[in-house]
Amino acid sequence: MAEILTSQVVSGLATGCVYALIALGFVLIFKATDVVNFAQGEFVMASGFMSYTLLIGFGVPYGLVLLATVVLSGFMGVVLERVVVRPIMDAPIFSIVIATIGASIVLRSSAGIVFGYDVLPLPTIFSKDPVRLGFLQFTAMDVGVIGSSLVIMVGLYLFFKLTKTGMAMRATAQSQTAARLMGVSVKRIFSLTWAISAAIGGVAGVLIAPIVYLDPNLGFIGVKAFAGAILGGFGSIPGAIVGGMLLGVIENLSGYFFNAGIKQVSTYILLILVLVVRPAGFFGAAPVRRV
Amino acid sequence: MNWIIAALTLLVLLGSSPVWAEDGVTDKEVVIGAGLDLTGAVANWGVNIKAGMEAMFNRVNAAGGVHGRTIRLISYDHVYQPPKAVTNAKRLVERDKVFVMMGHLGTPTTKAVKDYLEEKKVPNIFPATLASMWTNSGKWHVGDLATYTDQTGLIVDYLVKERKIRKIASFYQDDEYGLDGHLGGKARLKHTHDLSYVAEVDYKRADIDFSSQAAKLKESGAEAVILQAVYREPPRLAEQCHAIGYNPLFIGPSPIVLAKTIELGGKHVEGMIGVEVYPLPTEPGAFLDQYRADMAKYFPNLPIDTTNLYGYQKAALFVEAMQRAGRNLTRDSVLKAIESIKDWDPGWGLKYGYGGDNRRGMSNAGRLVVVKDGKWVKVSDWTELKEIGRK
Amino acid sequence: MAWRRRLPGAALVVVGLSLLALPGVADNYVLYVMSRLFVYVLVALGLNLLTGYAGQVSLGHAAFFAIGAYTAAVLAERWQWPSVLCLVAAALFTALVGYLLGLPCLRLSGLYLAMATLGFTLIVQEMLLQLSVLTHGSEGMKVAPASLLGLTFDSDTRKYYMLLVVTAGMLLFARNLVRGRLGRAFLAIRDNERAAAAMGVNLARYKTIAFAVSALYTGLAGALSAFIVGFLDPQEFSFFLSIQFITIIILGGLASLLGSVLGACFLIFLPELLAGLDVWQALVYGLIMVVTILFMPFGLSGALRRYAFRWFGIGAEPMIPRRLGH
Repeated sequence: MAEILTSQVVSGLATGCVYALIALGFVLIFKATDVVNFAQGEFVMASGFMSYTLLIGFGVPYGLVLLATVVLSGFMGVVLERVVVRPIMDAPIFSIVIATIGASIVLRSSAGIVFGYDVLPLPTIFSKDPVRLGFLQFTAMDVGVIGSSLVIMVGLYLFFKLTKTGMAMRATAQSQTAARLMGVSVKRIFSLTWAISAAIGGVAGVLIAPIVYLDPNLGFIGVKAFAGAILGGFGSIPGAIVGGMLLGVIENLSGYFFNAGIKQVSTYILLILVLVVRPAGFFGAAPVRRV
Repeated sequence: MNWIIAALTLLVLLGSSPVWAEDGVTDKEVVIGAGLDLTGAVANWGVNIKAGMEAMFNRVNAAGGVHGRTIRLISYDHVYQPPKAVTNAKRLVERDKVFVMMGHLGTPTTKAVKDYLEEKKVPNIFPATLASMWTNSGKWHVGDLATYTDQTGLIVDYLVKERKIRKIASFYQDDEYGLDGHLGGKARLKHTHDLSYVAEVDYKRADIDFSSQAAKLKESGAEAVILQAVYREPPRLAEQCHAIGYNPLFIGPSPIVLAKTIELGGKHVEGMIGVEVYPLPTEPGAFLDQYRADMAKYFPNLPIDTTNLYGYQKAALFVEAMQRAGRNLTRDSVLKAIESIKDWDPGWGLKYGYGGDNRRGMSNAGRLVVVKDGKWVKVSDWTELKEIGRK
Repeated sequence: MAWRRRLPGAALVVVGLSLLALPGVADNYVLYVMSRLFVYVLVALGLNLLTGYAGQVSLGHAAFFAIGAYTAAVLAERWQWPSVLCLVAAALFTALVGYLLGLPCLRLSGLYLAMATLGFTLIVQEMLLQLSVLTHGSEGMKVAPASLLGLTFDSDTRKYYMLLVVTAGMLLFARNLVRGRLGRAFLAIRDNERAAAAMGVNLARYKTIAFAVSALYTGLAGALSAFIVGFLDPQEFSFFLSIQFITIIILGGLASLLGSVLGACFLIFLPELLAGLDVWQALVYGLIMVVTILFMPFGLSGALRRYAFRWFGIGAEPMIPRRLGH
């Protein structure tokens, strides 16, 4: 029994890490620009297809594919920002959100037209064979996913803490006016934020696509990640990460103890309960509202 | 600008449609409709069924049609969602004035349009869903192959009698589609073998993670798991079961028997058994040769697969019915023509039979196939399936 | 010039007359599409009241739609209530649920409110499946056409008129609501909660009223939809439906009755126009959506108002609503 539980927890953590990465993408953009990017899930999907094309279509070695995918995704993020968000930067937030929804539809249907709606398996370097360590049971894939995600998260943390650009991004998130006064090109920071978010989404795509199979509707996973981000507190990065991981584990455990239906809503029940008690999520700070 | 869109649309919608003698039939043409999933959860089936049907129709049209009429297929995408299926059905019936609805894909989706089609007296022939309801819903619905209930009956008998397995679990989609086979199997276990499932584990349509289901199955100690699923779920379930060191026998009815299952599952689906209700696309025979030729000619980019053969045989059945109905083609006459088909073999060694209350087509033939070395190969010979219910 | 001021009124009369006369010229399919349009207009009105006017983001309207639909269907099937009562009961019950949902949501705003309401949608969807004794669960539920005093609304024409009448009535009601005290309170809350409270607007009361009224409209729409489509399946009432509803009011124009109508037109008519395009349909739809919002960030009604002012001098330059949420 213990080993089944631990295997559930571990695989839940693995999916949770992917949710966390996607949630991170959401939160980064949100903190910097107040926009909720509904196309985030589609970044994940697009990167999955990009790596598929490179890997299977052109036979590029795995390491290079990973690098190329991340770069291409970042590029895609910048393009989206310039074309869809920048022109209506001053419009009400809702309109920008709708623009990202429209963009997500465009991305999804383009993928469908180019690749068809068939489901494709994406190969991965991590094996999915079971591994036993005492009472722990998991797969190399689980470890690989968790490991890669942690690497990315630590890397980002260091980036924000230690580099000048990272600091500029944090400054912009706190106050655009102050950042401008300090000589930060806010427009550049926006583009960079979108690029990084999309790139993270790219990594998430490469990690998750082998697990759930690739198809143009993969982007719907973004909804779940979004919930995880809210659970943890949308305004905070550690919140998004913890929320995502928590989400993965809770889903798995409730699926085990209850049935498929409860599994799906357990997260949302939890979410509502948390929000009632703490309206800004676990770690979120109540937003300061100026009158 | 929106008024312009609205005005334009109203004009387009109001645009007069040509007058038909019987809906969907003119001197030169027959129009049939199909509500399919082309971009959603079972798109692989939808796209291929359409191709299979079109391949047959193209061949027939190239030879001058049936009694001088060519066949035109109109299909809309319902993305496996019942409300869209309803809207599409209305469009097909009232806008496009189709003669019959053929090959409508998906159990929940077809169920949503069932009453509407009956009300409009549009035959629902050979829907692409083998739920048992299409074989006993009255005049306007006709099935073509063995139902999930019957197939699961075959599975249960095989497991208990041939493999001597008594600990059987059921993994099923939690909707009308999954329930059909699931309940059929349950009934068979109880009435014929006095057993019950050791575990009943469900999943939601379009779910992608089954680690909790895998854990429950393992815990139950089931030696065989019957899969009432399509093509995404079996590979994933198998993978996740293996990941926790659980290796049961996986077995399921026809929707899992396609190349895609093997492509997705790789080594995890080796040894998985499925039920076939028509021959494999690679087998020899006149009809299959013709099918392969037509697919190569009209859809060279699509690999031959049980999915497009499925559509092809429906079309062949329809063409045969049209032949028998003769020049006077009405909905009544085509239904009567279908009912007159008895012991008809299109050229692959198996026969369709209708007549009277029997709206089940080739319902008495089922065969087990297994995944071996990355391909579906046959395990048993064609077996007669006895009709069983779900109670 | 005086005639310019009469233009909107005249346009309204023309539209009204055409709608009344439509069944004479159009075929059944058109009437069916129009009926669906009216249903969506009702939803849009409801959602706009809550989100556009009162500023409370809601992704929960698919749930209200579902509750209205199933309540009416279950009452009709199990207890054979007459259709009018089913509709009224469905609307009122949904309003009650809306009120109850509003209570815990009082403290939430922006994203968190959106998420909580989204959670509500998913929970309701699951409950519809679990309560299969009443709802027939995943099998789906058939709904017989509505009837009133022996007259059955089973033809597309009758359904069309039923919806036309109800929608027109509810539109008028919304108009009065918005121009009255309630409307002003909502706008005050949307623009600045603290200031509104300081001016004596009881936040808790008006927010929950907003939820209730909004839910009423949407529940009514759901019930009507059940009677005209004739089949309910829990799968329909998903997160994506909620997103579609939000899309309607944003594309149409927030805090605008005209916007609600236009947005519904966009969502219903455009896919019909594109239906023949097969695989390209979704792509074109997405592109049109993006282009529309890029050129009309305040929605179709915002753009219409702007042009009506610039070209005809009708009304005034539309007020630019403040950024919502956070």
